[in-house]
Amino acid sequence: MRILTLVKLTVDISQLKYESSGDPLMDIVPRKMGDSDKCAVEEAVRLKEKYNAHTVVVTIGSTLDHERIIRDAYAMGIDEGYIVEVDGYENLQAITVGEIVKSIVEMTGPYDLIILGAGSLDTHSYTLGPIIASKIGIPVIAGVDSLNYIDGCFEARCVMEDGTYIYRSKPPLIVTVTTEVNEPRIPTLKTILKSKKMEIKRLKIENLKVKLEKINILDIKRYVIQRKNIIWDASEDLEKAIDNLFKLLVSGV
Amino acid sequence: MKILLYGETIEWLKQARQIAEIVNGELYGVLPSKELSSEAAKILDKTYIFDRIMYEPNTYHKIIQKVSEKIKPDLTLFPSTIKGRTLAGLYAGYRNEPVITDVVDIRYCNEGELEVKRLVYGGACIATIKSKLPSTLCISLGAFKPLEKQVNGEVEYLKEVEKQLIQTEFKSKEYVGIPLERAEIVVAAGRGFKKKEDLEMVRELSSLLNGAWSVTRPLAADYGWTDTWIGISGAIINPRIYLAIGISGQPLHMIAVRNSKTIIAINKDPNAPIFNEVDYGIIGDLYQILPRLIEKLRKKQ
Ligand SMILES: Cc1cc2nc3c(=O)[nH]c(=O)nc-3n(C[C@H](O)[C@H](O)[C@H](O)COP(=O)(O)OP(=O)(O)OC[C@H]3O[C@@H](n4cnc5c(N)ncnc54)[C@H](O)[C@@H]3O)c2cc1C
Ligand SMILES: Nc1ncnc2c1ncn2[C@@H]1O[C@H](COP(=O)(O)O)[C@@H](O)[C@H]1O
Repeated sequence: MRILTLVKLTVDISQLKYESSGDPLMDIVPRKMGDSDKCAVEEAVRLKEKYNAHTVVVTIGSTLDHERIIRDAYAMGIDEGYIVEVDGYENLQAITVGEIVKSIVEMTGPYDLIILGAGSLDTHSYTLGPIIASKIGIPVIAGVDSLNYIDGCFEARCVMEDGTYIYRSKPPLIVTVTTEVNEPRIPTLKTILKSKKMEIKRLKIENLKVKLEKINILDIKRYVIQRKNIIWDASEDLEKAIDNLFKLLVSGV
Repeated sequence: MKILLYGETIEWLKQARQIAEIVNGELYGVLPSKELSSEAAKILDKTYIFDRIMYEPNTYHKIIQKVSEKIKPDLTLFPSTIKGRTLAGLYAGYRNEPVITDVVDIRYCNEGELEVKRLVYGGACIATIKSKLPSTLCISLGAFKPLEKQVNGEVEYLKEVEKQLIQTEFKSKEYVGIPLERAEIVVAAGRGFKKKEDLEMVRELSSLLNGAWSVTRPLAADYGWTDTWIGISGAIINPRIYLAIGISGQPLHMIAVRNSKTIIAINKDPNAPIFNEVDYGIIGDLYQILPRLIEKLRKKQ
């Protein structure tokens, strides 16, 4: 079995700070491997351990942080890693990222399973797995929170708005996972040291025959919706606070 | 301009009609449900209906793709739900066009360009993006006011449905009372609740108010107290009243409730971030407040 995983370097949104104007301070916010990508890596490594799969990881961008997240994936147990070097990695159109993955698959594939995070931490679009599916013409199961491999078939469970779906499909398949799918391992000192010595292969975007399309972002501001913001303190007057709330609810506002 | 949408609810079709008005376009729709056809025909210029089959994104995509080949839309709209985003990705990948999710505002600039506002960073920020047409947008439900405009649209039934690539089984969610997405009042519990049994208060409160109830993700995904939750990775709601109890108000939760008309919160921490986003907030202990509130509501009944 051959498995491809993708990892995205994302803004750690829990550490986002703002200027007084409401502009987010993008230069100082730390970046890390997306949470659901980490789960995708974990899932790939578990399949490797069970079925002796060969696992490959790819990231897109050319900062030192990109190298770090490839090594993070190595420390968790991934065998082989690629960095696609491209400037302005944060503003690539999703279809461009899809083209890049397609061309990596053509160069290094075929794969039985392509596994990635369902939604990235910063945009949470949920679209990349499906985009890749259309581009390379294999099916996708998106938003998987439990994955098994039984008798040559992947079985995936997805909890959606209206209920729980179980899908079964033979490889090749694309699967996007949520953070419920597993609890990613914490690398040991030994695997971390080993990961530092492993080779990372670098590919230049110019050599991938991909048309680069960027998102034209005009601005990004802190999102605030004007609310009434009337606050009652129940520690001062519990009865009054409850009464206010009661009246509000029965009035239907 | 031609607009194609995928939809499962009449409410969403009316919101899409508002968008059609903004960009001045004809509205075509693909719907997986015969029951909606007569209602849909009053909203859409043309409705393509297929018989509801088990949702499987690759199969659904093939159906939408076929319709799009006929219509050649400039703009395609999906609801920004998990299903909608998945279908939008398949669709945009197939058409090789930009796809933008979590869209809350659209402005038509000049020929062939849109200015779109979308939420990013778990809903903490809003980005303004210029996008060329054709493109695919996933619309945050509730961000656009439904438009009541009666048309007399055509309906066409799509007969052949391609064989499913993937075997599917489905267990429908057991709704107790009103489904979340349709409730006028939603009460939600967060980690301020100490044990599962205490959720009984939330259940009773929601039932007294004729609403629905749910929880934040940790209560469902980490503690296993319920199957579903509200948030970016769960249900997205836009009720008249959203009452958040013992919930801190983290962006990944709030993104899914921001389109509620009125937001009320009960939290014992005066510095909880949710108080920045409420219409009415009560600083206090839910264990003191809820029993008495429920008592009052019971008496009124
Ligand atoms: C990839 C990803 C996706 C996520 N998706 C979602 C999602 O879809 N939905 C979601 O909800 N979360 C989601 N989260 C988690 C989210 O970031 C927060 O961790 C979560 O929303 C916090 O839940 P909470 O408010 O219940 O808990 P907490 O943040 O712990 O807040 C509990 C609150 O209860 C208050 N409290 C405690 N005791 C009392 C009392 N006796 N009376 C009154 N108030 C009290 C406290 O003051 C506190 O403010 C996601 C996280 C990740 C990483
Ligand atoms: N620029 C990127 N580089 C690498 N992986 C990406 C990139 N964009 C998206 N992904 C992958 O696609 C998943 C879903 O992203 P999204 O569709 O943007 O929410 C992420 O969790 C990543 O695994």
